[in-house]
Amino acid sequence: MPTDNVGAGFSALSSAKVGNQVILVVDDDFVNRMLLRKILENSGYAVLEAFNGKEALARVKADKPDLVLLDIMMPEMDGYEVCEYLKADSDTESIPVIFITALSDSADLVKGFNVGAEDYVSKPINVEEVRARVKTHLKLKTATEAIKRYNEELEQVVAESSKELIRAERQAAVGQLIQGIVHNLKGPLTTMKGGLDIGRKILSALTHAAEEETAPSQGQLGKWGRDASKALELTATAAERLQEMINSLMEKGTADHIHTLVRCDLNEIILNELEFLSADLYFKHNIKKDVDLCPEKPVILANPSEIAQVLSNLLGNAKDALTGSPSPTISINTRISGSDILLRVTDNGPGIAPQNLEKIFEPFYTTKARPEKGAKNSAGLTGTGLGLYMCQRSVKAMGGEIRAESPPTGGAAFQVRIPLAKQET
Amino acid sequence: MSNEYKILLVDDDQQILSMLELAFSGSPYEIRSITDPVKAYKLIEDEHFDIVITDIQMPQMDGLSLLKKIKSFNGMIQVIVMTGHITINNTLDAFRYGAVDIFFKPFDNVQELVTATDAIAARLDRVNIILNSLVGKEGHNA
Repeated sequence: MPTDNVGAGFSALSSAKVGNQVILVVDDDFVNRMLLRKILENSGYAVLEAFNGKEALARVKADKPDLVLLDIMMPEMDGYEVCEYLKADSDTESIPVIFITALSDSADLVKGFNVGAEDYVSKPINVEEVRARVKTHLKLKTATEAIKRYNEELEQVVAESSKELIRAERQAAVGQLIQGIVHNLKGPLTTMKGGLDIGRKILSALTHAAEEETAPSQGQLGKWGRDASKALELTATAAERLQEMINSLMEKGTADHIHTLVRCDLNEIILNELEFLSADLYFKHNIKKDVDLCPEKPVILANPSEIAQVLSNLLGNAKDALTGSPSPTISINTRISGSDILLRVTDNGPGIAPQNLEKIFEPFYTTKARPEKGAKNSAGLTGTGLGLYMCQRSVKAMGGEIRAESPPTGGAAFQVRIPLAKQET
Repeated sequence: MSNEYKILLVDDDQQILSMLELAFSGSPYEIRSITDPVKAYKLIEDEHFDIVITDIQMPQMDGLSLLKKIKSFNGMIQVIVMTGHITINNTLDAFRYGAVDIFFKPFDNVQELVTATDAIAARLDRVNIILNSLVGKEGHNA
């Protein structure tokens, strides 16, 4: 029963006040609107009014109230319809709707909830009931919004730290690469410098002999000549080896700056990557590589450096999985299947537990130790848990897919399916 | 030099081995070279070597492990290690496990390795003379 002073509300047609929560009252009955305005304003809310469905929708759009009190029985557009509109629009769906109803039939109430209303108050209006329900739903809305905001912030934090970790993963890869490169470059450099030292020694012996005016024996001269030519030959071969290494590095370096998709031969990229990975001593000498590439030239539309990155991840994982295996073998094969090219990388390591087959593509899932902790797992391996996640992203960007299998016979297999490029016309 | 010492060169890089063989070509030693440290150790067990010059970073067996095995098999074998991966640990471990010298790759001058080997050979001469005289004395007394 209304206990408030209803009449006094007449002049209080103030619009929404800043800072107050705003409630839209929708009723075709002027007296009801007045009564509700009074109840709500006395509770400290700002009140907006609408006298029919159309007006209600316009006000919601324009003023974004925090809650809508909605009469069901209205001419032209009834409350159910208004509610349906509000809940169908992503801008307004989160605004709680409370029906005002004289209908006591449970079927009508169910209909109200079905169109998305949060609650109802019954006519004749009970002041305490209206206050209680409005208060509860506004509280709920505030809490929901806080959670939503919190979630968004959290997502942002996660996105930031993912970026950080992706950077760390890339940096780690670069670090490893540089170490491999340096080790590889030192080999031919040692030979070259050694060859020069030997040449210089022979030259100084010759100069010495000339200065002393002592003619060296034919045998001595012959040996110097043979040694000098051998030293030159060794130096030249080592220089060529250095040149080749630098060339392949340059190619890789330039490719990294191209982010557009180009037509490239997958087999060629695989062979290049295998050649490049031979910088890794363990990979070069200890692991048996079983390479079986399709005889056709599998041309795909891709970024070659991303494909190389995917391969390097898959081969790196396979290598890690093979740590301590008695006869480590990695099989790499390509096969054309319809309009796609299938690339399979298989190892004969311990395999992947079935329950982990899906998880391994999730970001931050890793069976290796986290590098930032400075620790290593039992096999001495570290990972950020982003390698396969990034592989999946790259492959998807090329319109392909990647999946993992762990056959009961042992080992792990990764299959990458990429659409072949259409023939150039 | 009274002895023609046998030297074994161990490095996984065949070109470096060829270069080292050439650097030693004027020396009085019998030089053998091998790229696989596992096979190198078998060879050391089967044949006698006086000096072993080995790389540290090799895929099949770490040069330091090879050094340890050699020294526990026959402490008289003199071992020189070479490394392209210069760290304090590598260096200290090499001496700790009984290496007589360590060389960093690329060499300042490969002749320094030959000179160091000559010095070790001279020392071996001296040690052999002393040992022989001691053994000889014992032999007379027996």
